[in-house]
Amino acid sequence: MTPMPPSLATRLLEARLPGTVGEFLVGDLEEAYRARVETAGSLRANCWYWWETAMVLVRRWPRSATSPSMAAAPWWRGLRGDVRQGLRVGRRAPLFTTLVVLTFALGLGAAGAIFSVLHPVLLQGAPYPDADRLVTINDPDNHGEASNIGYPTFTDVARESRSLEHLAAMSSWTPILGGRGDAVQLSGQRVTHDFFRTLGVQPSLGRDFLPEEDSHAGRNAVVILGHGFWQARFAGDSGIIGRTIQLSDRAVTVIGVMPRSFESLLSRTAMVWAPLGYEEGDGPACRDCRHLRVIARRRASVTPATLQAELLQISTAMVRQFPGNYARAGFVIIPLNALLLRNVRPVLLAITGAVALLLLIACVNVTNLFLGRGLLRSSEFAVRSALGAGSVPLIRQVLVEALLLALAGGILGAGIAYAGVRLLVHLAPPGIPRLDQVTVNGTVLGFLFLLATLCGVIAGTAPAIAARRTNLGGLLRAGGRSIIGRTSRQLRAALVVVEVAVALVLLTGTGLLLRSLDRLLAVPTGFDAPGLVSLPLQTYGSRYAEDATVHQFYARVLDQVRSVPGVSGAAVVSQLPLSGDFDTWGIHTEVKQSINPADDPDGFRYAISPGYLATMGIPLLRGRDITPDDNATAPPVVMINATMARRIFGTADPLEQRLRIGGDQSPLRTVVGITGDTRQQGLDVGPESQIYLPAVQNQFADSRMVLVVRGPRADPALVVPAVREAIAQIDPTVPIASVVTMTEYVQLNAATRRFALVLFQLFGAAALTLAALGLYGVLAASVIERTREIGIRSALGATSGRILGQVARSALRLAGLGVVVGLATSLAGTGLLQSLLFEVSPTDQVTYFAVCGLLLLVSLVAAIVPGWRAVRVAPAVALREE
Amino acid sequence: MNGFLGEFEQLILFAILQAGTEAYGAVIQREIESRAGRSASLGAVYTTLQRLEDKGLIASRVGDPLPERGGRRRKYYLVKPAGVRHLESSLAALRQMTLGLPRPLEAP
Repeated sequence: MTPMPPSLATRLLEARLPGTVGEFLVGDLEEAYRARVETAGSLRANCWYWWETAMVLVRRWPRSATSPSMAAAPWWRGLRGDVRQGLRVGRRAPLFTTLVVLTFALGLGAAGAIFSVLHPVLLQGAPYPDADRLVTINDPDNHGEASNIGYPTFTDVARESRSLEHLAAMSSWTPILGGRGDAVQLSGQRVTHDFFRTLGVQPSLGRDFLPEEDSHAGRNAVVILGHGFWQARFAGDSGIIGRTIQLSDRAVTVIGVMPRSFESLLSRTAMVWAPLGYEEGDGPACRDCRHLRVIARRRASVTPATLQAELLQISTAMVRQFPGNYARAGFVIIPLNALLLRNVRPVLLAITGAVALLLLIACVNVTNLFLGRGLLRSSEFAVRSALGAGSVPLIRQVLVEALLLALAGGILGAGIAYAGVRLLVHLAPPGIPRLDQVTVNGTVLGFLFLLATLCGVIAGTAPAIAARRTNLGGLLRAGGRSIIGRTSRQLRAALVVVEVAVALVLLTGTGLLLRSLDRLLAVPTGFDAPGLVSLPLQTYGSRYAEDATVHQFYARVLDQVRSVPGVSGAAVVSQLPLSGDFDTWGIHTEVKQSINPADDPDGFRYAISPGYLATMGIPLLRGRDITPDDNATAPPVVMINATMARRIFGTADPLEQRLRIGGDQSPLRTVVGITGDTRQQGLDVGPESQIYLPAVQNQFADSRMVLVVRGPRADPALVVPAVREAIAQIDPTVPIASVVTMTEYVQLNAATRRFALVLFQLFGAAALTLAALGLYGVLAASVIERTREIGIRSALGATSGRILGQVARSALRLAGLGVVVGLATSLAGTGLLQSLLFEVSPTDQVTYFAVCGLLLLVSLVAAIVPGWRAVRVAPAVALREE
Repeated sequence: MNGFLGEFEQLILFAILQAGTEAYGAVIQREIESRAGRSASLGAVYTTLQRLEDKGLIASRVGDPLPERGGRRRKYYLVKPAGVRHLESSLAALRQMTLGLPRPLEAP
């Protein structure tokens, strides 16, 4: 019987020694042990063996490499080896590595960029302390939508409410800074004294407004500056506090500067704030003068429901007391955070969905690549499992590889995200809040890291399981030929279906948006935009205190501008279509329409100069245009648009009918003409009632008017310098804020949809490319696997056409299944896109047919190309290939 | 050539050279024991072999599994040219250092 060394010692040795040494050292010891038993007896041999074991155990063993056999090791043992192995494998297959890393980078980069935008915009909320307690309080308009509020309503709420900690009213304010030649129009807000306290912020320099400054006396006496404006205009001079500056011809004292971190979200461009300064009985402080917005802070101890109930009670009491001033009881209360997102949430959510789909396609593709490569490595796995490697290390190895690639993709993706964010910010439509806060920061990187890990796990799991199931017996029987496990084949087929389905969802989304944008831009604006350019003008100061002077100024400007070469028409108007201006007035016909005048319809009011319709290209449908003869002393006249004619007068003839704009004191005006409709609020907002009156016949002279000039059709901006010159000759102190062509306004109106569309197009193209690559990979692999079969069949006389037909059929079967799944998902999911669509149904058939056709075509090409290559291989070669 | 060889490293290199083509762990240990009269544990021998291999002075090949080793394989070592050069320069240094010293200390 052969003497055996003490087994306990051997086990200790094997546990202690690194894999590179263990076998040889233990083997040497056993060999020497047997020799010793012969010469010195088993007792001395045992003692020697134990002594040698002890010497091994006390020694430090450098771990230069790990044992290939990890069957008995805990799961984490050798993880570093896996990482190294993964890196080595990655280096050895550069094409595979590049493909996988790029795929991951694309998906993760897009996700990172979108997350950078979403994080400050959607997830963080307004940057004020306890912003969740801030709400805006609005009067309902005739449709129950949030609308502005009159001053007495605000003071009533302030007096009656017990649930509010602070509240403030605000209105927009555009003071003029400076004097002759360098006049600048500033953007600001007039606010009640608690405004900043309501938001929970205070000036970083100087002090906040005092209650007594919110009066006639304080109204034009004190001002608080924004940080950016203070830096830009006063070079951050802290001596500014207490100094006076000239605002709209008045000397006002700077009492405070807001901190750099203060973001004015309620009026994004505001840089100066002054007290509202209304007192009881002021003209603009009437109950019907709805031009204020109210922000309020709910007490921490009060629930939103309690606040809602209390405000309803206050409103009901007000309506009972002043029935003529309110159409209905109840305020529209909108939390500030919700208000900021109201318009952009659908876009951002739709894009988030698109990114998730893209990421899913990326994962599916990588899974496919892994499975494809798993075939090539199946012999490696089989040998390893034959050598006793348990399933845990094999699964772990594949997962570690997938994770490494995903992390590499994540790092590259961070770069893509960085570039993507800049692109997003560049493309983003106006109105996405806090866009200046969008950066790739630590949070974004952390998110990317988590997402990369998740993707690695998702993409690695299926191949890992497939690797474990590698059938050793089958592999050996196949004599080293690569054979494909049933699991693996089914899995890949399933992935093709998923890929086609997801690509279909993304592409239908893209298609629907594309058609929406087409429809939207085809909406008639009602005016002839090309060739028109707009310049807002503002008269201010004591020189324009008289309305007659204001009218005279505009008349002289028009005279001068019309003589500029290249100008074929010019007019002024109080509000411009599609420019964001919003000025609606109640319209009361001479024949009463409703008992309560507050229930009467309202419409957009345009105070115009003669020639407005001709300059804008708005058609006059019936009656006559406003002429220079409709002056201040002539009988008051108006023109109304077709929509208003239909809505208010129905079948009756509106011409020669009389109506009032605004309150009871305003004169009755005769309808003399009916114009075409123009879009005021947006291309996607149907035509509203519009009413045009000669500016000189209005009760007051609008201090802000927009000059519209018809210049050269190709580039109306060419005449702008000459027009500016002409205005400066009349009054150099009048500032011209921003010059915008009407075409730009029209484009801007479609900007949100265009933004969504551009992103969907990018994602759709990326998804189509990835899906096509994935399909090609899978189908090519399955054709290559069948090269031998194809060879035999061609040898037996099957024509290329027959074989190709069969290849195409099997590809189309998979793709078709994917299309069916994708269609079902799209139909269920594109309802999410609803709010971004315009006159296109979420189940638009044209889009669906086009996308399905495209995907099936791509699948067909992806199958035919490898199929064609297989058919061209001579049968003898195919058979020899084994 | 960077670094000096420790004495035990020199002994191991010489033992590999002495053992010829049959230089595996147990043989190296035996050579050191029989020629230098030193007892060295197999653990010490193997850590030093690993270090020498890392330094690129020796190379190894793995033999077939053998029943007398419980089905384990042997790892045979041989000294690479770099290892030989290292030994030569060590010896030359020793000779130079002993030149002219009284008899028992002077190397031949």
